[in-house]
Amino acid sequence: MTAPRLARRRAPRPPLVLVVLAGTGVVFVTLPLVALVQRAPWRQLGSLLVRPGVVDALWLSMVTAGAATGVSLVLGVPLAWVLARVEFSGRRVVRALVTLPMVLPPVVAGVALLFAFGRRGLVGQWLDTPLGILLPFSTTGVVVAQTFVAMPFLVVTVEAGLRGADRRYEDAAATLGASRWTTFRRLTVPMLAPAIAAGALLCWARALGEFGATITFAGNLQGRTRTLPLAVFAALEGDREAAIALSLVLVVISLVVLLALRDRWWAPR
Amino acid sequence: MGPAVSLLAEVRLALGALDLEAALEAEAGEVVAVVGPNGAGKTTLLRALAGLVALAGGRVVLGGRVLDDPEASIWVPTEQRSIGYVFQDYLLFPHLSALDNVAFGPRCRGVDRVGARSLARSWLERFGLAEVVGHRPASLSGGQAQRVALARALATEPRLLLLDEPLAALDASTRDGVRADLRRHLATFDGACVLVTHDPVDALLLAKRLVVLEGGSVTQRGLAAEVAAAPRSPWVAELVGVNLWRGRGRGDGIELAGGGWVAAPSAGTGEVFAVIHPRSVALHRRRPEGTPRNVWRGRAEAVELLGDRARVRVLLDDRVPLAAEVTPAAVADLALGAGGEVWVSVKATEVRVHPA
Repeated sequence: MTAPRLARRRAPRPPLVLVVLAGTGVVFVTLPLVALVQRAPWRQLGSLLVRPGVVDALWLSMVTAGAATGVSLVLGVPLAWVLARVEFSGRRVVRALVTLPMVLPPVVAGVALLFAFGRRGLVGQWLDTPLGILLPFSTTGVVVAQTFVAMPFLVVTVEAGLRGADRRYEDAAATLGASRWTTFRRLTVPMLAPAIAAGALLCWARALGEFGATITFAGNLQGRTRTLPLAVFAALEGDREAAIALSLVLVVISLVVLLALRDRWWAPR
Repeated sequence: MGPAVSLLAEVRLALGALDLEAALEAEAGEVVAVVGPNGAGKTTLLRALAGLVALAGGRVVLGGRVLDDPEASIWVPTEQRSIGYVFQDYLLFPHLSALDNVAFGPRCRGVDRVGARSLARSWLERFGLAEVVGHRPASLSGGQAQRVALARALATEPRLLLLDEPLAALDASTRDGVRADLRRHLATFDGACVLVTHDPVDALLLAKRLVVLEGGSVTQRGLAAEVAAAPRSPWVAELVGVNLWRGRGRGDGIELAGGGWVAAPSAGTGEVFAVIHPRSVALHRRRPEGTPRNVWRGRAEAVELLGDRARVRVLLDDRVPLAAEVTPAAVADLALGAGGEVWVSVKATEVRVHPA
């Protein structure tokens, strides 16, 4: 909307202190990215990105983050529905527990996962001996770590979408004879598609960037558990050029995610 | 043997500031209008009948089947009640086409996809919506959306149809046409119908009986014509106390069904209703001169005081009743008493014409 012509008074000048501090903040956030781009080996970029270790990490990251997002969708959408639509005692506790991984240091998450799913862990001991499933130091372990850390982002986004949705559509479905399961399937999920898509994207981005829980729980084995962030970390010691190239890949992906979510996050108000 | 009572409801519940206590009956094939001011509990009453809010007491019986009876711990969930519900803003599912909106109910009640779609198509065709079957609700006009909502509610062949302000979301230009359509469809509907409205024209044109709900309780009930003719409170008088005549449009006037002529601009042709608000009726002791095109002679039958206004019931030509609203002082000036002769005038532009 354009401001009316009559009210063409100049906006008062903002206080200098605030402008200086805000500018410092912008510089602080952008400087590292500028430094990264400035040091990028642009000419060798193509050859760096097709090295076997790099290709392995890229491929592994795509597969694991995709799988973690899939698991999060299957478990997280129903979880969000229950949190938003079913009243039960202890709902607040459950919600707090489910969102805890968002603020938990990832390395702690990794340690906790070891005690749960490790060879001697709470559940892991049963997975190991009778079933022969070993999660730590496996690709599946990477997916477990990523799901643990990333699923809350999906749950929180979808639950907010459910709370903002007009529940009377569900009433309308009930008057037409729809059970709650039919309503969930044919109405709630399709109408919530934008929130689910945003939540899944957020979840995927978080899974892609997962480092602490992965390296603690799944280790750093090339081709098996070394995802992009782990590869960056490993390359930093010897092969700086590769580390920068991989970092650029992650920066580009982050920017794409940000652009995809622009309507939700920085839409003009 | 008269028709079986289809809906028998006694609703008692408390919701926020509302204390609702209302009894309601509707025979099969009958339309009952619930009228009342905002916050009177009209929508809550409908939601209680649908099972969308719980009763604290009372019971709901539909066609002999007890749907709700808290004392006997009986409660049939909404999706198992044979109801159709048209919501005030229709609540058409935005991600489904008009066809799939209408097919949704039959699908939920066990009809296969192909069967449900062909059923939905025939319903939409019946409502003159053949051209918009594939449209999403966002691209429908208000009148079309209303018809799709009604078709969706009727496609499950419910025994009870609940209409919550079915015409309120429409603008004045489409309202008359949609109302006339609704009237036709309700005439062929063989279940019971409860209609909630705040519009006297809707209530009087669509319903046979009225239930007036004020502050959560029923203050008046009866045949629509009776309630309109003898409102018991200023509020009811304001709401439904209008004069409603049926007749045939003849261009610049209406030929009344029982004989008589009412001048009205653009009265159209065909069956119409003429609505005259009692406030638009002027009373005179002698034959008035001037511009009013409708001048009749009659007898004052009764005078009632309703708050700061007086309601005079006049019988025109010994046949046609008419309500007029004047100030108590005017009653004294005119020396109106029961049986007194009086002249009545109504400007032609004050006569509202609606197609029947």
